[in-house]
Amino acid sequence: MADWGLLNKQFDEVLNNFSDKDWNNWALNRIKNKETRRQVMLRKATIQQSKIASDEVNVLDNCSSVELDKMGLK
Amino acid sequence: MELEVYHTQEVRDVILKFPCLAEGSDHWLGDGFYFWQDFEFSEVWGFQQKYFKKNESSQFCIFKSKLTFKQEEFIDTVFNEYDYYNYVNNIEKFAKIFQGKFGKKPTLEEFNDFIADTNPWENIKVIRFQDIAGSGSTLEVKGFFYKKRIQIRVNDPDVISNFEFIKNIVCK
Repeated sequence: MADWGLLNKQFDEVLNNFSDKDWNNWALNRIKNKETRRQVMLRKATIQQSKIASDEVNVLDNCSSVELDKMGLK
Repeated sequence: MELEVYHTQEVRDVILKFPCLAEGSDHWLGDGFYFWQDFEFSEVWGFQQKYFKKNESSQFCIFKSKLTFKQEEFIDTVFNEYDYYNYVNNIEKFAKIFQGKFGKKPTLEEFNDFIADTNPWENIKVIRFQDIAGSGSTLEVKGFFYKKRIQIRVNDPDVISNFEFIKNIVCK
């Protein structure tokens, strides 16, 4: 379960400490930040996809010939 | 904690090995990887997008995936009452302050961008939420929306594994 004691505290801290200048800067940079976030997310997705592919190869590497045969991969 | 979930996508030349990142201003919880909790709604959504909207391709694909995460990385606004009311309170708290600053209600996109930019919930990787019920084609009692149309939004790709193609559906 999410720790709402912490989540509420963190959200309140952000909201309460946001000055008028912060709000204006945020509104000004919102679109630019969106693109940066997108790039980061896509990079992370590519890394995770490679990791999954590598795990699959490792599983196959560790299979005995009997197991590979069962999977139709021999 | 683990969830088995479904991802609907249009047909492509190559079968996807990983879910697509949903981007744009109309996603309930902003950019991220979106899944359906129940297979039937992944299918319904595919039909709605590909058939009723008469898109170029009359086909869509459904994929299955596993999500693995810790309890504290998960906000469940569908089945957990405490999560639901805290989540609602935070949205409305933000909306009130935003309205005070800019003199207008925030848009969905502005809310999501604020959360993503300021990252107040950095530990949260998965949010389960209820989508709008839709046409009711999955209901066995006409006009009674007793089923929740549940979506899951993931903002950390590390949570996603075992992504596999399960079905290609041709709309007739």
